[in-house]
Amino acid sequence: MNVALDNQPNCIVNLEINLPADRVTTEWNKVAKAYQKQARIPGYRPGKAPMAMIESRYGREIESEVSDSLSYEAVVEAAKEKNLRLNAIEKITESSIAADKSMKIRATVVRMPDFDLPEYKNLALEAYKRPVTEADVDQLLEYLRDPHSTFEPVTDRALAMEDFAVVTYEGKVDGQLLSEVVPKAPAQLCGRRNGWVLMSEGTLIPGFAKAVEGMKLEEERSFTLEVPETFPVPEIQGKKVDYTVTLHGINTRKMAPLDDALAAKIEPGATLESLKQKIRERQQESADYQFDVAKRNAAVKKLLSLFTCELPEQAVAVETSSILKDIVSESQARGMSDDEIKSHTDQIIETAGESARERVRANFVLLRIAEQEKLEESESELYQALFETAERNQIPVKKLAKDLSRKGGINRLREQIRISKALDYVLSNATVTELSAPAEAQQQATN
Amino acid sequence: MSDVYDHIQSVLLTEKATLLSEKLNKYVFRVPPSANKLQIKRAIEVIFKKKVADVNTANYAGKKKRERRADFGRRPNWKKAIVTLKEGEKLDIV
Repeated sequence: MNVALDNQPNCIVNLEINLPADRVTTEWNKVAKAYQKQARIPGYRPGKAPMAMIESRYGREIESEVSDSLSYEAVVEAAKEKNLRLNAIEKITESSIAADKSMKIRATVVRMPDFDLPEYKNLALEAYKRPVTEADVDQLLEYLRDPHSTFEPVTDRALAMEDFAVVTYEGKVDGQLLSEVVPKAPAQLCGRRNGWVLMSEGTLIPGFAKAVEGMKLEEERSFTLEVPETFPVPEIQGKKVDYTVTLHGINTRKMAPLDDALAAKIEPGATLESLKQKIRERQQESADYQFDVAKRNAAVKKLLSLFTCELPEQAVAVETSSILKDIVSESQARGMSDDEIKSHTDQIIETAGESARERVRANFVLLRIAEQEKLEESESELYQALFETAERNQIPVKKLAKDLSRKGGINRLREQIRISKALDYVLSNATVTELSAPAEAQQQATN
Repeated sequence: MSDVYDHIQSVLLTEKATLLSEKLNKYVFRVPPSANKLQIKRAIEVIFKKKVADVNTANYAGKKKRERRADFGRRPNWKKAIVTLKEGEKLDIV
């Protein structure tokens, strides 16, 4: 195999590869035989047509299949031969098979940047480990207890905070119904008949609960509230809303007693003590997981602070688009509307770009560490990663494997495994100090 | 005088014909029933510029064909010519 390299700025390398005829012939015969087995040509039984006939009929198809399968392999081999750390194959600009069956390939590839590997052993890291306290256990228990509470009507007193008021109310702006002024406004803001309203400061428009506090049953009260500028419905920000409210009922929440019966309702067969123990264990698992993530982040941050390198724009662009997708889907899952996301486009793109640069740099250094320490991915690890990805995306494993192998994604998956192993290696050789408070809080305290 | 191209209709490419060409240097053609061996030999020598050693012919009756009707037609009668080339001569007809 003859390989000529042409280094370009920005980690781009142009490759010109000449593949010998014997290599191409072997592949050609393999593909042609597959065609021969399938071909149905008049005058011949299926699979019995002579090779010359097959080549004259399906020559173009065979050539394109051979060049497709050989060009990718050849580029990877050429990069290996020239000790080029390949990051991605940007495009294969030419791949042609000559009459003597020799093949010429021109490709543009992205190489990994050259940099001196920083000292990655014995890193001193700091990470916050959240302690699991009894208060955390109680808080979660309260949360689980909440759905089992009951409501009791109150008749002997006026409406108080934390009660559930059964009210009929109507909101107006300048004498016009709120639902007509702002048709898109949430229905509970505009008015309801016999609606349940929790008496807390965050209910409806700020000040609503305070304004109706002290009302007696079947009392009607009118009041005006000024909507703050920060209110999430922009159409009524800064406007005055007149409400007329009639109180029909008062309910108080009665929490279920904390006992074994409640524990059995939350988890069949559990006692209060065993439930608390289970919650404690889960909290501990979650705290350990968060500590592990914090350690990994600290290791990556430390490594990034130890070296600089040029970054291939193509790799950054791919990573940016993947992060952008994640941000958008995460924002949509959190209930952000498309308009809100669009209004923050610049900010989102900037954030994604910065994260992408860091992630790409971190990937480069971790891949180099994996190479240095000869950390390889095993086939079983690859299968496990495939299964996990398929389960996460809820698609069949076979389909995922097919898609990935078509788009070169299997190599990305292999890289991800090596990156993860390298990070494990760095952590196993690092000294981690447990912080008693999150890093930002610790930094503020020292300042 | 008739043209040499009138005496050869097409090359017959079948499994049997391929075997004959590969093993015995014989090539099979479809020719008009009116063509005789001498005309076929001359036509091959002129068109392909190869020396012919022997020509064998066989007449075939066209098959009866009908399409859901009582009356039927038939495919035309045809003639097959198996041409043996002289040693060292070869035809690339695929």
